[in-house]
Amino acid sequence: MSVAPVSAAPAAAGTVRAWCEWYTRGLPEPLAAERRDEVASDLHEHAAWAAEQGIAERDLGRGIRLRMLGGALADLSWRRQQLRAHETAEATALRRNARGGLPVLAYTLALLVLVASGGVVLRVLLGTGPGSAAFHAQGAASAVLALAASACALALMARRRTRWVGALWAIVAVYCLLRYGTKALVHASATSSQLVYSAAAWDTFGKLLIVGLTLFFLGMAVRWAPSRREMDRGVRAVARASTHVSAQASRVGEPLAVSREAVGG
Amino acid sequence: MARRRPGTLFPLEIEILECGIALQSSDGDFYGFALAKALAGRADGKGLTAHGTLYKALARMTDAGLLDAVWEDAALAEAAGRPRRRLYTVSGEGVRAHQAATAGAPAAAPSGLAAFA
Repeated sequence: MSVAPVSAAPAAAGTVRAWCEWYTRGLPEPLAAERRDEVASDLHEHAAWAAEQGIAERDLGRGIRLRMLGGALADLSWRRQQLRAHETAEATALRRNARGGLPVLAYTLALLVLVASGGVVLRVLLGTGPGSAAFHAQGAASAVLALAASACALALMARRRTRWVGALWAIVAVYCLLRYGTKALVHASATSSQLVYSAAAWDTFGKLLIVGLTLFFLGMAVRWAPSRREMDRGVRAVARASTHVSAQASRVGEPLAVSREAVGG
Repeated sequence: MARRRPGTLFPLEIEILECGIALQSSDGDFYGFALAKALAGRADGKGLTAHGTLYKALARMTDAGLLDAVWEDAALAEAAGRPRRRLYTVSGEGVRAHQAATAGAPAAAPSGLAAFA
Protein backbone atom coordinates (compact mmCIF):
# COMPACT_ATOMS: atom_id res chain seq x y z
CA MET A 1 0.00 0.00 0.00
CA SER A 2 1.30 3.48 -0.76
CA VAL A 3 1.62 6.15 1.86
CA ALA A 4 -1.74 7.85 2.29
CA PRO A 5 -1.97 11.62 2.41
CA VAL A 6 -2.70 13.22 5.77
CA SER A 7 -5.01 16.20 5.83
CA ALA A 8 -3.63 17.91 8.94
CA ALA A 9 -0.15 19.38 9.09
CA PRO A 10 0.68 18.22 5.57
CA ALA A 11 4.15 19.73 5.55
CA ALA A 12 5.25 17.90 8.70
CA ALA A 13 3.69 14.65 7.51
CA GLY A 14 5.41 15.12 4.14
CA THR A 15 8.74 15.54 5.91
CA VAL A 16 8.19 12.32 7.86
CA ARG A 17 7.18 10.46 4.70
CA ALA A 18 10.26 11.76 2.86
CA TRP A 19 12.49 10.74 5.77
CA CYS A 20 10.85 7.31 5.84
CA GLU A 21 11.37 6.92 2.07
CA TRP A 22 15.02 7.87 2.57
CA TYR A 23 15.90 5.48 5.39
CA THR A 24 14.03 2.56 3.85
CA ARG A 25 15.78 2.91 0.47
CA GLY A 26 17.71 -0.14 -0.64
CA LEU A 27 15.93 -2.44 1.83
CA PRO A 28 13.86 -5.39 0.59
CA GLU A 29 10.63 -3.91 -0.75
CA PRO A 30 8.17 -5.83 1.49
CA LEU A 31 10.09 -4.70 4.59
CA ALA A 32 10.33 -1.09 3.39
CA ALA A 33 6.64 -1.01 2.41
CA GLU A 34 5.63 -2.35 5.84
CA ARG A 35 7.55 0.41 7.61
CA ARG A 36 6.16 3.09 5.26
CA ASP A 37 2.60 1.83 5.77
CA GLU A 38 2.99 1.69 9.52
CA VAL A 39 4.32 5.25 9.64
CA ALA A 40 1.51 6.41 7.30
CA SER A 41 -1.07 4.84 9.61
CA ASP A 42 0.59 6.52 12.60
CA LEU A 43 0.51 9.94 10.90
CA HIS A 44 -3.16 9.52 10.04
CA GLU A 45 -4.11 8.39 13.56
CA HIS A 46 -2.05 11.22 15.06
CA ALA A 47 -3.87 13.79 12.91
CA ALA A 48 -7.29 12.27 13.69
CA TRP A 49 -6.53 12.25 17.42
CA ALA A 50 -5.29 15.88 17.28
CA ALA A 51 -8.51 16.92 15.54
CA GLU A 52 -10.56 15.18 18.27
CA GLN A 53 -8.54 16.91 20.98
CA GLY A 54 -8.81 20.30 19.28
CA ILE A 55 -5.04 20.60 18.91
CA ALA A 56 -4.01 23.40 16.55
CA GLU A 57 -2.53 22.33 13.24
CA ARG A 58 0.68 24.19 14.01
CA ASP A 59 1.12 22.29 17.29
CA LEU A 60 0.32 19.05 15.54
CA GLY A 61 2.98 19.77 12.93
CA ARG A 62 5.52 20.50 15.66
CA GLY A 63 4.57 17.31 17.50
CA ILE A 64 4.98 15.23 14.35
CA ARG A 65 8.39 16.75 13.60
CA LEU A 66 9.53 16.21 17.18
CA ARG A 67 8.52 12.56 17.00
CA MET A 68 10.47 12.20 13.78
CA LEU A 69 13.58 13.89 15.13
CA GLY A 70 13.42 11.99 18.43
CA GLY A 71 13.44 8.66 16.62
CA ALA A 72 15.86 9.49 13.82
CA LEU A 73 18.79 7.65 15.42
CA ALA A 74 16.60 4.61 16.09
CA ASP A 75 15.48 4.70 12.43
CA LEU A 76 19.09 4.72 11.26
CA SER A 77 20.02 1.96 13.67
CA TRP A 78 17.05 -0.12 12.47
CA ARG A 79 18.10 0.49 8.86
CA ARG A 80 21.65 -0.65 9.63
CA GLN A 81 20.38 -3.81 11.31
CA GLN A 82 18.12 -4.59 8.37
CA LEU A 83 20.87 -3.99 5.82
CA ARG A 84 23.16 -6.32 7.77
CA ALA A 85 20.43 -8.95 8.08
CA HIS A 86 19.65 -8.88 4.36
CA GLU A 87 23.07 -8.32 2.81
CA THR A 88 24.46 -10.88 0.39
CA ALA A 89 27.55 -12.98 1.09
CA GLU A 90 29.47 -10.84 -1.44
CA ALA A 91 28.48 -7.65 0.38
CA THR A 92 29.56 -9.13 3.72
CA ALA A 93 32.92 -10.12 2.24
CA LEU A 94 33.31 -6.64 0.71
CA ARG A 95 32.58 -4.97 4.06
CA ARG A 96 35.09 -7.16 5.86
CA ASN A 97 37.72 -6.49 3.20
CA ALA A 98 37.09 -2.76 3.51
CA ARG A 99 37.77 -3.06 7.24
CA GLY A 100 41.03 -4.86 6.50
CA GLY A 101 42.00 -2.04 4.17
CA LEU A 102 42.53 0.43 7.01
CA PRO A 103 45.57 -1.33 8.49
CA VAL A 104 47.07 -1.59 5.00
CA LEU A 105 46.52 2.16 4.59
CA ALA A 106 48.17 2.79 7.97
CA TYR A 107 51.26 0.73 7.02
CA THR A 108 51.42 2.45 3.62
CA LEU A 109 51.20 5.93 5.14
CA ALA A 110 53.84 5.12 7.76
CA LEU A 111 56.10 3.81 4.98
CA LEU A 112 55.49 6.98 2.95
CA VAL A 113 56.45 9.11 5.97
CA LEU A 114 59.62 7.02 6.36
CA VAL A 115 60.56 7.43 2.70
CA ALA A 116 59.73 11.16 2.72
CA SER A 117 61.74 11.72 5.93
CA GLY A 118 64.67 9.81 4.44
CA GLY A 119 64.42 11.92 1.30
CA VAL A 120 64.40 15.17 3.29
CA VAL A 121 67.37 14.08 5.43
CA LEU A 122 69.42 13.08 2.38
CA ARG A 123 68.52 16.24 0.47
CA VAL A 124 69.35 18.52 3.40
CA LEU A 125 72.60 16.80 4.39
CA LEU A 126 73.91 16.28 0.86
CA GLY A 127 72.65 19.58 -0.55
CA THR A 128 73.65 22.00 2.19
CA GLY A 129 75.46 20.43 5.14
CA PRO A 130 75.77 21.81 8.68
CA GLY A 131 78.23 24.54 7.69
CA SER A 132 76.08 26.06 4.95
CA ALA A 133 74.01 29.23 5.39
CA ALA A 134 71.00 27.42 3.90
CA PHE A 135 71.20 24.74 6.56
CA HIS A 136 68.13 24.78 8.83
CA ALA A 137 69.33 22.93 11.95
CA GLN A 138 65.98 22.61 13.66
CA GLY A 139 64.31 21.38 10.47
CA ALA A 140 67.11 18.89 9.76
CA ALA A 141 66.94 17.55 13.31
CA SER A 142 63.18 17.20 12.98
CA ALA A 143 63.56 15.31 9.71
CA VAL A 144 66.04 12.93 11.38
CA LEU A 145 63.61 12.51 14.27
CA ALA A 146 60.79 11.88 11.78
CA LEU A 147 62.92 9.23 10.06
CA ALA A 148 63.68 7.50 13.38
CA ALA A 149 60.07 7.77 14.60
CA SER A 150 58.61 6.40 11.37
CA ALA A 151 61.12 3.51 11.43
CA CYS A 152 60.07 2.77 15.03
CA ALA A 153 56.42 3.08 14.03
CA LEU A 154 56.78 0.56 11.23
CA ALA A 155 58.73 -1.86 13.44
CA LEU A 156 56.14 -1.62 16.22
CA MET A 157 53.24 -1.88 13.80
CA ALA A 158 54.65 -5.15 12.50
CA ARG A 159 53.83 -6.86 15.82
CA ARG A 160 50.22 -7.38 16.82
CA ARG A 161 50.72 -6.45 20.48
CA THR A 162 52.63 -3.25 19.84
CA ARG A 163 50.99 -1.93 16.71
CA TRP A 164 48.89 0.58 18.66
CA VAL A 165 52.11 2.09 20.04
CA GLY A 166 53.42 2.13 16.47
CA ALA A 167 50.43 4.19 15.38
CA LEU A 168 51.24 6.74 18.11
CA TRP A 169 54.86 6.89 16.94
CA ALA A 170 53.58 7.52 13.42
CA ILE A 171 51.86 10.66 14.74
CA VAL A 172 55.20 11.91 16.09
CA ALA A 173 56.82 11.19 12.73
CA VAL A 174 54.08 12.98 10.80
CA TYR A 175 54.30 16.06 13.03
CA CYS A 176 58.10 16.29 12.91
CA LEU A 177 58.20 15.83 9.16
CA LEU A 178 55.38 18.12 8.12
CA ARG A 179 55.74 20.85 10.73
CA TYR A 180 59.54 21.31 10.79
CA GLY A 181 61.15 18.82 8.39
CA THR A 182 59.65 20.56 5.37
CA LYS A 183 61.20 23.86 6.54
CA ALA A 184 64.66 22.33 6.20
CA LEU A 185 63.72 21.22 2.70
CA VAL A 186 62.50 24.71 1.80
CA HIS A 187 65.82 26.17 2.94
CA ALA A 188 67.84 23.55 1.10
CA SER A 189 65.95 23.23 -2.17
CA ALA A 190 65.15 26.09 -4.55
CA THR A 191 62.38 24.06 -6.18
CA SER A 192 60.69 23.43 -2.83
CA SER A 193 60.91 27.07 -1.75
CA GLN A 194 59.50 28.20 -5.11
CA LEU A 195 56.63 25.73 -4.72
CA VAL A 196 55.86 26.83 -1.17
CA TYR A 197 56.00 30.57 -1.82
CA SER A 198 53.97 30.30 -5.04
CA ALA A 199 51.06 28.56 -3.32
CA ALA A 200 49.50 30.70 -0.57
CA ALA A 201 47.44 27.82 0.80
CA TRP A 202 50.48 25.56 1.30
CA ASP A 203 50.76 26.30 5.03
CA THR A 204 47.04 25.65 5.61
CA PHE A 205 47.27 22.48 3.54
CA GLY A 206 50.22 21.29 5.63
CA LYS A 207 48.33 21.92 8.88
CA LEU A 208 45.24 20.16 7.58
CA LEU A 209 47.40 17.22 6.53
CA ILE A 210 48.90 17.05 10.03
CA VAL A 211 45.45 17.13 11.66
CA GLY A 212 44.04 14.56 9.23
CA LEU A 213 46.93 12.10 9.59
CA THR A 214 47.02 12.58 13.36
CA LEU A 215 43.32 11.75 13.63
CA PHE A 216 43.78 8.75 11.34
CA PHE A 217 46.69 7.27 13.32
CA LEU A 218 44.97 8.11 16.60
CA GLY A 219 41.92 6.20 15.37
CA MET A 220 44.12 3.26 14.42
CA ALA A 221 45.79 3.34 17.86
CA VAL A 222 42.36 3.19 19.52
CA ARG A 223 41.28 0.42 17.17
CA TRP A 224 44.42 -1.60 17.84
CA ALA A 225 44.59 -0.86 21.57
CA PRO A 226 44.47 -4.05 23.63
CA SER A 227 41.23 -4.76 25.46
CA ARG A 228 41.10 -4.68 29.25
CA ARG A 229 41.06 -8.49 29.28
CA GLU A 230 44.26 -8.62 27.21
CA MET A 231 45.86 -6.03 29.50
CA ASP A 232 44.89 -8.10 32.57
CA ARG A 233 46.32 -11.18 30.90
CA GLY A 234 49.57 -9.30 30.24
CA VAL A 235 49.78 -8.08 33.85
CA ARG A 236 49.18 -11.63 35.13
CA ALA A 237 51.88 -12.96 32.79
CA VAL A 238 54.35 -10.36 34.08
CA ALA A 239 53.42 -11.21 37.70
CA ARG A 240 53.89 -14.93 37.00
CA ALA A 241 57.25 -14.28 35.35
CA SER A 242 58.48 -12.13 38.26
CA THR A 243 57.34 -14.79 40.79
CA HIS A 244 59.19 -17.40 38.75
CA VAL A 245 62.34 -15.25 38.63
CA SER A 246 62.28 -14.60 42.41
CA ALA A 247 61.75 -18.32 43.05
CA GLN A 248 64.73 -19.11 40.85
CA ALA A 249 66.80 -16.44 42.58
CA SER A 250 65.99 -17.77 46.05
CA ARG A 251 66.81 -21.30 44.88
CA VAL A 252 70.18 -20.08 43.62
CA GLY A 253 70.79 -18.30 46.96
CA GLU A 254 70.02 -21.40 49.13
CA PRO A 255 73.35 -23.24 48.67
CA LEU A 256 75.20 -19.97 49.19
CA ALA A 257 73.43 -19.48 52.54
CA VAL A 258 74.30 -23.04 53.60
CA SER A 259 77.91 -22.67 52.66
CA ARG A 260 78.07 -19.32 54.52
CA GLU A 261 76.72 -21.06 57.65
CA ALA A 262 79.20 -23.85 57.17
CA VAL A 263 81.97 -21.34 56.91
CA GLY A 264 80.65 -19.49 59.97
CA GLY A 265 80.39 -22.80 61.94
CA MET B 1 23.25 2.11 21.65
CA ALA B 2 22.53 0.42 24.95
CA ARG B 3 23.38 -3.28 25.11
CA ARG B 4 21.26 -5.66 27.07
CA ARG B 5 22.09 -8.76 29.03
CA PRO B 6 20.51 -11.92 27.60
CA GLY B 7 17.07 -12.58 29.05
CA THR B 8 16.40 -9.01 30.12
CA LEU B 9 14.06 -6.37 28.76
CA PHE B 10 14.63 -2.66 28.18
CA PRO B 11 12.41 -0.36 30.29
CA LEU B 12 10.57 0.70 27.11
CA GLU B 13 9.83 -2.94 26.28
CA ILE B 14 8.42 -3.56 29.76
CA GLU B 15 6.19 -0.49 29.33
CA ILE B 16 5.09 -1.66 25.88
CA LEU B 17 4.15 -5.06 27.30
CA GLU B 18 2.26 -3.46 30.19
CA CYS B 19 0.33 -1.06 27.95
CA GLY B 20 -0.17 -3.74 25.30
CA ILE B 21 -1.65 -6.19 27.81
CA ALA B 22 -3.99 -3.44 29.09
CA LEU B 23 -5.03 -2.36 25.57
CA GLN B 24 -5.66 -5.87 24.29
CA SER B 25 -7.74 -6.73 27.36
CA SER B 26 -10.15 -3.94 26.34
CA ASP B 27 -9.85 -3.83 22.52
CA GLY B 28 -8.53 -7.29 21.64
CA ASP B 29 -5.39 -5.87 20.02
CA PHE B 30 -3.51 -2.58 19.63
CA TYR B 31 -1.71 -0.56 16.96
CA GLY B 32 1.27 1.78 17.00
CA PHE B 33 -0.36 5.13 17.65
CA ALA B 34 -2.76 3.69 20.28
CA LEU B 35 0.28 2.34 22.06
CA ALA B 36 2.08 5.71 21.77
CA LYS B 37 -0.93 7.41 23.39
CA ALA B 38 -1.07 4.82 26.16
CA LEU B 39 2.67 5.18 26.83
CA ALA B 40 2.35 8.98 26.92
CA GLY B 41 -0.57 8.72 29.35
CA ARG B 42 1.52 6.70 31.82
CA ALA B 43 4.44 9.08 32.20
CA ASP B 44 4.16 12.57 33.65
CA GLY B 45 4.92 15.24 31.09
CA LYS B 46 6.21 12.71 28.56
CA GLY B 47 5.10 13.22 24.97
CA LEU B 48 4.23 10.66 22.35
CA THR B 49 6.99 8.14 21.75
CA ALA B 50 9.08 8.98 18.68
CA HIS B 51 8.29 7.06 15.50
CA GLY B 52 11.69 5.45 15.17
CA THR B 53 11.94 4.43 18.82
CA LEU B 54 8.44 2.96 18.88
CA TYR B 55 8.50 1.03 15.61
CA LYS B 56 12.02 -0.23 16.09
CA ALA B 57 11.04 -1.61 19.50
CA LEU B 58 7.86 -3.16 18.09
CA ALA B 59 9.79 -4.80 15.24
CA ARG B 60 12.40 -6.15 17.65
CA MET B 61 9.80 -7.52 20.05
CA THR B 62 7.86 -9.11 17.19
CA ASP B 63 11.03 -10.79 15.93
CA ALA B 64 11.71 -12.02 19.47
CA GLY B 65 8.25 -13.58 19.69
CA LEU B 66 7.06 -11.28 22.48
CA LEU B 67 4.41 -9.74 20.22
CA ASP B 68 2.33 -11.11 17.36
CA ALA B 69 1.60 -8.77 14.47
CA VAL B 70 -0.92 -8.92 11.60
CA TRP B 71 -2.01 -6.34 9.08
CA GLU B 72 -5.59 -5.20 9.30
CA ASP B 73 -7.89 -6.22 6.44
CA ALA B 74 -7.47 -3.56 3.72
CA ALA B 75 -11.23 -3.54 2.99
CA LEU B 76 -12.02 -2.71 6.62
CA ALA B 77 -9.48 0.13 6.67
CA GLU B 78 -10.79 1.46 3.36
CA ALA B 79 -14.37 1.39 4.68
CA ALA B 80 -13.20 3.38 7.71
CA GLY B 81 -11.40 5.86 5.43
CA ARG B 82 -7.91 5.43 6.84
CA PRO B 83 -4.68 3.58 6.09
CA ARG B 84 -4.67 0.00 7.38
CA ARG B 85 -3.23 -0.55 10.82
CA ARG B 86 -0.69 -3.11 11.90
CA LEU B 87 -2.38 -4.87 14.79
CA TYR B 88 -0.34 -6.28 17.65
CA THR B 89 -1.09 -8.67 20.48
CA VAL B 90 1.16 -9.66 23.35
CA SER B 91 2.05 -13.33 22.91
CA GLY B 92 2.16 -15.91 25.70
CA GLU B 93 5.92 -15.57 25.72
CA GLY B 94 5.53 -11.80 26.02
CA VAL B 95 3.26 -12.20 29.04
CA ARG B 96 5.78 -14.57 30.69
CA ALA B 97 8.67 -12.20 29.94
CA HIS B 98 6.70 -9.31 31.41
CA GLN B 99 5.88 -11.28 34.55
CA ALA B 100 9.50 -12.29 34.94
CA ALA B 101 10.73 -8.72 34.39
CA THR B 102 8.26 -7.12 36.81
CA ALA B 103 8.96 -9.79 39.43
CA GLY B 104 12.61 -8.75 39.26
CA ALA B 105 13.72 -12.25 38.29
CA PRO B 106 15.45 -13.20 35.02
CA ALA B 107 13.09 -14.53 32.37
CA ALA B 108 12.39 -18.26 32.66
CA ALA B 109 12.43 -19.04 28.96
CA PRO B 110 15.96 -18.42 27.71
CA SER B 111 15.32 -20.09 24.35
CA GLY B 112 12.80 -17.47 23.32
CA LEU B 113 14.41 -14.49 24.98
CA ALA B 114 17.83 -15.36 23.62
CA ALA B 115 16.47 -14.39 20.23
CA PHE B 116 16.46 -10.70 21.09
CA ALA B 117 19.65 -10.59 23.13
